[in-house]
Amino acid sequence: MNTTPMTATEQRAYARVFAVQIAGNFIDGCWRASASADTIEVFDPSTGERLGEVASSSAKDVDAAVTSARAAQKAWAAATPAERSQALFKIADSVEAHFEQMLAMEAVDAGKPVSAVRDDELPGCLDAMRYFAGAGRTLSAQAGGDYLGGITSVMRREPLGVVAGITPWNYPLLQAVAKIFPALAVGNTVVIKPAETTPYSTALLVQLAGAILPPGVLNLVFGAGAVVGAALSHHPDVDVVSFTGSIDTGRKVGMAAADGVKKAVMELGGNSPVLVFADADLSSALDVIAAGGLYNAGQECMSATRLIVERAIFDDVVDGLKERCQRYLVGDALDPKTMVGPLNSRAQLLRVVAKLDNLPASATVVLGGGLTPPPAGISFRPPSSSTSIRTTRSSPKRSSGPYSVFNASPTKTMRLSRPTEHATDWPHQCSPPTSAGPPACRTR
Amino acid sequence: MFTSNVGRATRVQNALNFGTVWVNNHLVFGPDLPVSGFGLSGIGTENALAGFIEFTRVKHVMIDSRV
Repeated sequence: MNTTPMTATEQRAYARVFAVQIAGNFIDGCWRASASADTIEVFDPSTGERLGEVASSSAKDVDAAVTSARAAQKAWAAATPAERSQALFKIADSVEAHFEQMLAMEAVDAGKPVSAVRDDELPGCLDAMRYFAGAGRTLSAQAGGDYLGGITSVMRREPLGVVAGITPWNYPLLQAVAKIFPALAVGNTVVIKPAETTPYSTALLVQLAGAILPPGVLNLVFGAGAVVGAALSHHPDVDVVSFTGSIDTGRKVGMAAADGVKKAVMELGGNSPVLVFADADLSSALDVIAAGGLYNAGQECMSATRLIVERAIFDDVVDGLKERCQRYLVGDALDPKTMVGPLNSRAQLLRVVAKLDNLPASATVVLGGGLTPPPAGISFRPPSSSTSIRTTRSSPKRSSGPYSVFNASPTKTMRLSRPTEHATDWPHQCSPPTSAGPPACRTR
Repeated sequence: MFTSNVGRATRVQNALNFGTVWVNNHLVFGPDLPVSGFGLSGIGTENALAGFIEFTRVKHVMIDSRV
């Protein structure tokens, strides 16, 4: 059902044409000019060239979108689960019919390797759409019954109302799907705000969905997190904010939600440790760790960020990972051979470089893909592994990028401080893994 | 975590305060599988039935059958 695969030139041309035709925000079933004249420039991270611009919307735009979502919600909730499900399946079919276009948009806009989008992420998005479309019909609550004398209790699982979805730049389409589809399936209406650097795959999704859904059921507002995200989080007619992004912004979203006594669902950062025991199948483990550290150029909250390695195999793990990282070709996201694309933006590149510069002098760091000289013209290319190899015992704050920091235990007790501004809470203290038994970990 | 000892894998996962633990694999996802961040990694769940529940509320209707 798909059109012929596009060449890289065709993909870039399609992305530019699509970007140019997007004007304003998608509100009440159509593209509508923003109340703000300001715009945000969007770049192709592979080339660094300007791709287009979107509205830097104001609180007025947010208000219009929320008003539209509120007005549409009653009728959408009154539709049967089957009717909502059928609409969502139709959207999935429409996205699948535009597979090549969506692939181009996501690969160009987010700088994701086309092979990953074609083979992994876009099929995953379609599967997720259909899962949510179907599974939304199966929700249950506590069984009704006579729990109190003379009283018959009936439990109804209802939609919350208007959902604000605020998505990150690392998985723009997948995250939009993960917020929009379950929310719509159970009878909510949605206002989605994509990240500033990656607005276009969400725009294409919303445009395709808008041809199927009643007006107002799904709205999109472009703009800055500090303006649009804040306005959504504070809006009294938004019932739940679903946010994926940084801890700092998550705190602000949470505080705004608390102020309005509304719900906030938050997926925030990570600082994922990987434990490698000496009894592991090392070859297989290293393949998985390298792949998990370099997928999406390491811009993933569950990337293999920190490796905690049993001392007996520490050198083997470092050497094995260095060797494997050489196999990962860095390049233009639209080159089918590329395995590690550019970082998402210049800002992200600067964050990663600053983090690497500030690691302790003793850190052991393996950088992914850096041994392959990236072709000229790759704009936001990941740092190369010419950086020295160092060893650390600390767990530094990390910015998403294609590198991992190793921990080895130099003493009997491996102290892993709780990452101060970091996501995942590692046991405060952990003895080094030994082959004799499990690590004695204490958790909160 | 990577280990060939299933007992160790079971013990270690029990000690970890993370929303997702992979044993001998990494970054495997599916829409029918829940993703939750513990601690500073977030509040609530995405995907799976638990993810749907986040977008709903339960209304309890009590009908007095004696009236």
